[in-house]
Amino acid sequence: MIWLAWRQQRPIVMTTFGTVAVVMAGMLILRLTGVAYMDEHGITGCTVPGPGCDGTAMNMFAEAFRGLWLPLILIMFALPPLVGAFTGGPLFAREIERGTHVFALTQSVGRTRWWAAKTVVGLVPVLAAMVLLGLVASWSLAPLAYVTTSPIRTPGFETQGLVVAAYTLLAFAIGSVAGILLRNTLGAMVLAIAFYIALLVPVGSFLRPAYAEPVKVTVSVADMLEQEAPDADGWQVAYGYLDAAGNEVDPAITPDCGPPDKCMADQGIVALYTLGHPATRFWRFQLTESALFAGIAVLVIAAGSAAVRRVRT
Amino acid sequence: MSTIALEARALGKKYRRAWGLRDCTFQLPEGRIAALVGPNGAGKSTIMGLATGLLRPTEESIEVFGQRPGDQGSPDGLAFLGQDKPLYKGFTVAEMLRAGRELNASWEQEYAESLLADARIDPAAKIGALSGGQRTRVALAVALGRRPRLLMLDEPLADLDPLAREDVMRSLMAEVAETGMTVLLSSHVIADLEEVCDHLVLLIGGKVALTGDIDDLLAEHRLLIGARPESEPDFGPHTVIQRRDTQRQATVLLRTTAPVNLPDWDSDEPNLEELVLSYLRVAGAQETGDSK
Repeated sequence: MIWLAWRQQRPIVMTTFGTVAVVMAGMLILRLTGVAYMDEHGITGCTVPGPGCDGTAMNMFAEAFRGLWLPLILIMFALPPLVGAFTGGPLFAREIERGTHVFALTQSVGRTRWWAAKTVVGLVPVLAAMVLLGLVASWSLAPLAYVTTSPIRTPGFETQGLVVAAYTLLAFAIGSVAGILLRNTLGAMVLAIAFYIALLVPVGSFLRPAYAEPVKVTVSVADMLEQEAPDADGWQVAYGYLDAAGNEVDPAITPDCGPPDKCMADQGIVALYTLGHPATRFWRFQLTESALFAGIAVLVIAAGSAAVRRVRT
Repeated sequence: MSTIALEARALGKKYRRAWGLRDCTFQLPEGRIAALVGPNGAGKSTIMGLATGLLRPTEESIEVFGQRPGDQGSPDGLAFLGQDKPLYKGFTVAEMLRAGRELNASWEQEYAESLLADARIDPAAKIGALSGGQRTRVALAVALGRRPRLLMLDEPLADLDPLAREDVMRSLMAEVAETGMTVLLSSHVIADLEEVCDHLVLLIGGKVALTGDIDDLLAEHRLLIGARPESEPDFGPHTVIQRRDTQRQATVLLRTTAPVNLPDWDSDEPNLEELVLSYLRVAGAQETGDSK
C-alpha cells in the first residue's frame, strides 16, 4: 500500500520538491548578497539604526533589497496554501473522479488503511520540505531584519519558521478531506485555499497578539521627542497617552494646537505608552501558531477518517 | 447441495431519493456463469457494489461464500471488475500489476503476467496509451491475479468494438473453463450473454423478476404464436406472462410446467432474448399503467 500511495503521489511530490528548491535557492541568494552589501557599506549585523549602524546606509540598504525581498515574501505567502491544495486536494478527489478508488477498495486492503497510507505518504515528504524551507527562510532573512521589518510582524512572521509547514499541513488536511466529501478536485483545492485565508486573517489580527501578555513600555514626552521609538524591532500592538496620574488621555490634536510638546503639555499628557511583543518572542509565537494550525489540521484529518468510511462508488 | 457463491436475501438499498434495490432475493450456485440482466438503472451495479462492500445494504443481507462484505476490501474469493475498468492511467502495465500485488494478500504474479503475455500486451506500456480492449485485458489480469472463486464484471463489454468484445469474452471463458470459477456478468445487451451464460438474474426496477438456470427457465416457458383471437382466449392452467397483439397475429408467453396443448397456437420454447424481452415488456406496460 505504501508503494502504491507513493507511486501515485510521486509526480506532485517531485514538483513540490522542485518548487521548494528554487525558492530556497532564492532565499540563500538573498542572504548572501544581503550580507555582502552590509559588509561593503559598514552596517554588518545591524538590525536597527543606532550607534555603529548609520541610518542613511540602513535605509539605502532597505531600498536596494526591497525588489529582491518582496517577490520572495509573496511567494512564501502563497506557497503553503498552494502546496497544501495541490498535494491534498487531488489525493482522494482525483481517485473518486476517475473511479480508481473502486479498484483500490475492492482488493484486500481495508479502506481505513488505504486512507491512512495515502494521507501519510502524501503528507510527510511535503511537510518535511516545507519545514526545511521555513528554517532556510528564517536563516536567510535574519541579517535582513531591517529590510523585512521585524520577523515577529506581518509579513515576516508568516513567511518563515515553523508556521510555513503548519499552514501547509492545514491546507493539505482541508484539501484531502474536502476531496473525499466533494468528490471534486478543483472544489477541494479551492476550499483548501479559501479556508486557509479565512483562518489566517483573523488569527493574525486578533489571536496572535494575544499569544502572550504584551509588554508595556512607558516613555515620557521629553524622552520621546529625543530618542528613537522603544524596541523598534518588536511588534507594537497598541499605544496611548498618559497624564501625570497615570490615567489614559484621549488627545485632541488640532491644527492650531501648536508644537507637539506644547500641545501635549496643554492636555496634561506627560508620557506615551506602547503595548507590544519584543522580537525575542518570535520562536515562542511560532510554536504557538504552529500548534494551533496543526491542532485544527488534526481535527480535520480525524473527520476525514470518518468520511472515508462513507465513500461509495 | 452445491455451495452458494452469492446470495441475496430480501436485500434492499436506498439511495438519497429512491430505492435502488428492494426486496431482492436470489442465489448464485458455485460454478455457474450467470448473466445479471436488466435495463439501465435496474440495480445491476448496486448489487455488485453491495457484494464488494463498496455499498452498505439498507435492508437485509448479501453474502459472498457466506461472508458479509465490510470495510476490509472485497470478501475473500471475490474479484470485481468495475464499470469503465478503473485503472491508474499514469502507471505502466507492470506497475498496475504491482498495484494488484501490493493490495492483495494472496496474489499470483506469474499467472497475471501470463495473462498479459497471452494478450500480447507490453508490460512497459502506459495504461493511458492502451486501446479499450487491451485495457480490459489488463483489468482482467489484475482481477484474476487474486485467484477469485467468484468473478464479477460490471458491463465489461460496454465500451468495446465487436472484435475486442469477442477477444475479451474468449479469453475470459478460457480462464473460466480452466479454473471452474463462478462468474457474474452484467449487461443490458442480452446477445452478449446468450452464448456463454447458463444462469440468469433478471432485475427490473430494483427487483428480481426472474432467476434460475437458463435451461430450466426456458423449459418452464412457452412462446405461443397464433392468429389474433376474436375473443379472450382461454389458456387453461397456464400463467400468461405477456401477450402482444399485432393486426393479425398474437404472441403469448406462458409460464407452465405442464405440457401445453392448445390447438389454435404454435407452441415453442422461447430463446433467452425472447424470454427476457417479454418480461421487460410486462414491466414496461405496468410502468405506463402505473403512471396513468
